[in-house]
Amino acid sequence: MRFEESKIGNVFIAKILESRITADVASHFKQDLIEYVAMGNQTIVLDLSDVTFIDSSGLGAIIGSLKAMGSERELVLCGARDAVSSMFKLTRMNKMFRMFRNREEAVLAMSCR
Amino acid sequence: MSRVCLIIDSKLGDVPLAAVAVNGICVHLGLGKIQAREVELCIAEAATNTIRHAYHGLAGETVSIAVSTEIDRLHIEVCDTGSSIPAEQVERLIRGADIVEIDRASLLEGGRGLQIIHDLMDEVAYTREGNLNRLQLMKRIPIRR
Repeated sequence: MRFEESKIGNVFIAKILESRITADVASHFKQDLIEYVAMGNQTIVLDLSDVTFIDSSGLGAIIGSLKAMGSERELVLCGARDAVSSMFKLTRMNKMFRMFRNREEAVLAMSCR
Repeated sequence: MSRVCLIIDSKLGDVPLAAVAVNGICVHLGLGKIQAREVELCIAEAATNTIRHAYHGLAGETVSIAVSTEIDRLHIEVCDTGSSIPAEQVERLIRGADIVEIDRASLLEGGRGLQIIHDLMDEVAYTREGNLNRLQLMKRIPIRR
């Protein structure tokens, strides 16, 4: 999977540069996210603004990464388009993830912690 | 009744081709963007489920996706000749289930595909005839005037 990585203060931002997160790429996607977790990032913002379609396998990869963060660290999402946002609502994962409209809002909220 | 049948190899990488094609058919038939995307998602979930569980991830088998229409209905059949869907999973597909996830530790990474199909389609049925698994999905479509 292709990502654009950046860091603002203590917040690590990974923007997904793919339009679809589906079963065929989900395991690699999860590995990439777990690496970001293993690097010791305390707060990760996953920017979904380029993603137009996600299936349950892609969702599962993001959930696996959230679990890998443990209870002390945070993985939050930003930029979810309607199709992606609908998937989180349908599966009620919008209750488990903090979701922000854009990266600026996400970084601001997570920098204030 | 108009009908088209898509056949893909049992490779996860081929699933998006079929799912996107069905989305295009849905839009052509007059479904809105959101409904078409919901059908696309259900095709992706059904075909992925088939490849992973009926064919145990092995390529070289066939997944067929037939789309047909009546005046106000879109019918989809996803067929394979692999292992059947276990009874408890059929129950989830037909009747739905409450997945209890109250905190981060209790979150499940998988097992949502059939529930998504249940939630998004108007009717769902599953049969096993001989070695043929047939998943039948129906979505109501707006009538063109």
